[in-house]
Amino acid sequence: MITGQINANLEAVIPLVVQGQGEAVLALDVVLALDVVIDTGYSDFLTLPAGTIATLGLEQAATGVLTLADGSKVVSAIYLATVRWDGLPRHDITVDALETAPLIGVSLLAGYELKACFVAGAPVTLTACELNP
Amino acid sequence: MATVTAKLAGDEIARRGEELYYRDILPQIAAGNEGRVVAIDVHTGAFEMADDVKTSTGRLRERVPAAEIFLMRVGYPTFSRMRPLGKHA
Repeated sequence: MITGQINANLEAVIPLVVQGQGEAVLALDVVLALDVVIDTGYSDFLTLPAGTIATLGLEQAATGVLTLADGSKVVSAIYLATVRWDGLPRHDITVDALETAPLIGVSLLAGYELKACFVAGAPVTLTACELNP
Repeated sequence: MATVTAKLAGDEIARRGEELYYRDILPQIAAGNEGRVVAIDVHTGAFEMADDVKTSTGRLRERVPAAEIFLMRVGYPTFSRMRPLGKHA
C-alpha cells in the first residue's frame, strides 16, 4: 500500500522515489524522494520539471507532443526512469518534461485502487486491486 | 559508438514526426493497434511499434543508432495528454 495526504489545495499527494543515472563519469545513481500529485486526467506515467530531470541525469529517449487540459499542445522531451512503487522498483517509466509540480498519471496508477477523502490533511491510499477484470 | 551530428529542435522533430506518421505510417497500421507506441526516426522515416516506449525506441535504435525519435500513440492525437480523451473533440 502507498500512503499520502490531501494538501491545502485539495490535491492528492503521495511520496515517490525516482532513480536516475546521475553524471555518467561518476557512474552513481541519483535517488530523489519527491512529492507527486495524482492527476487522473493525465494519460501517462510521470511528469518532472527539466531541473529535476537534469539532477537525475536522465537521458532523453524521444520527443512527443502532450495535449494540455485546455486543448493546446506542447512539444515534450520524453525520458525513461526507475521509480520505487509500492516497495518495488518499476523500470522504464515514461517521464514527460513539464514545468509543473511533478504529476503521476493513470498509466502508473493502473491496477491500483485510489482512496481519498478530499479534506486538507486527510490520508490518501493506493492499494493493489484484488481483481483485475 | 554512434554519434548524432545534427540535433534538431523539439518543434522540428515534432513537425517532421507528425508529417511522417500521418502520411506514411498510419496507412500501414492495422486496426486493433490502438494505444500502442510508434517510435519514428524523423531523418529516415524508419519506425517501430510496440506496447511501450522502451521497446519501440530500443528496437528503432538497434536499426538506426543515430535516430532522433518522435513518439505517437496509435488512435490518439498526441503521445500523451492532460485531458480526457481527445477522441471526443
